[in-house]
Amino acid sequence: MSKSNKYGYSGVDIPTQAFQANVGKFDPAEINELVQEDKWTQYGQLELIETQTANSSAVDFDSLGSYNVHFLTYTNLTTGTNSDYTQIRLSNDGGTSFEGGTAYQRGVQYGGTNAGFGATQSTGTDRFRSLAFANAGTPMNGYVYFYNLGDSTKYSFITHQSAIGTTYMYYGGQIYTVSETNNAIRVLNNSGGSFTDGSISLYGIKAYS
Amino acid sequence: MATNLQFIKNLTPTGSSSSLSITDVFSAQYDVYVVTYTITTDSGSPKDVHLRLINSSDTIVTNANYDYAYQQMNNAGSFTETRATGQDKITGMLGATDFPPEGTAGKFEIYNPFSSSSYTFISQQASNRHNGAEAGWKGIAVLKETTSITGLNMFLSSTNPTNESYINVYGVK
Repeated sequence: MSKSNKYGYSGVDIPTQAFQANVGKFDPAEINELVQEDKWTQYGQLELIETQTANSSAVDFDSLGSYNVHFLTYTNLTTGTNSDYTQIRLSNDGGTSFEGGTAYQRGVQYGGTNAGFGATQSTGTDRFRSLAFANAGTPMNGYVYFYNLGDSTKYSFITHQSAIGTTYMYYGGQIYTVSETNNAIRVLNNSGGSFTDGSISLYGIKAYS
Repeated sequence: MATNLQFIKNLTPTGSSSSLSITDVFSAQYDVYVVTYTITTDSGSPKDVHLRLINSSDTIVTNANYDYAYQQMNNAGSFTETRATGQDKITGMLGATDFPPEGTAGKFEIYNPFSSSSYTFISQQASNRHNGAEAGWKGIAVLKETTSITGLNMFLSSTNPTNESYINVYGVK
């Protein structure tokens, strides 16, 4: 604590402020200052970063903010190509380029109402694959959690699940096995063709230490 | 009132204990909670991250009332299924961890933990890499007690999660 005139106090020790521990009377400038310092209690930790309409061959998110965990949803995502898989690549240069190579690994389960269940896996490929799968015009819905994208000391992990109009599901876990800061995400198709409809939203899940 | 996901508590390990307890996080304020986690460890073996719940007396529940089932989706070889009933912990469902940059990362949902009239249910998903092998994990679990649960305990059998690990607990409004 320190002595100053702040938070409604004058000439006494000022309580230390923190998320879930704000004490005093606050004027708007002080609230703004505490918000900037992540010390102001305001609930709603699923923070929307951006929503994009899917009408191109690649939907890029290149402003990820500072979060340990990101959450991406896609709604009525539609491709113009039959037998198309939804995929993701990461970037370490803000979206100027996206990582390929063989550092992506996956273990994914799929199953359908009119087909069997099965596995798709890889020990080294150039992107996160098999997030969803559909023919042209069939809507895909699902989510992806990203863990530790901004941590240069850890690999980047994802978990995901989709529900597809035909009806199929895909769920699993995948890793990008390079310890680096990844600061952009690209959603794309296996075919290289364009998405024709749908929206994709990216959220950050805020945490406090 | 603000809605959706509301942060409750964070735990970052000190690196000196194999057991991580978060107390006083479940209450009457929420019915559903989301926990996000990344666990890395100071030793490659043993590797499994276990889960137990903590009751309103701040006691870790070790009664043999945990049931669970999960699928381990390996990046090579066959997928494996693990299931058990009447266990004293949820064994290994949170993934297998290792030295950073490997480890396990995931999230799980907890349903009705604070209620003293219903069981506590869990759904979970993770991705891990241990000793060069990757896997996705998806599971469910239940504590078949109508105990009011107020916290959780994640632990390894002997080695210590490093201070690069974290656990975050959120309430869902």
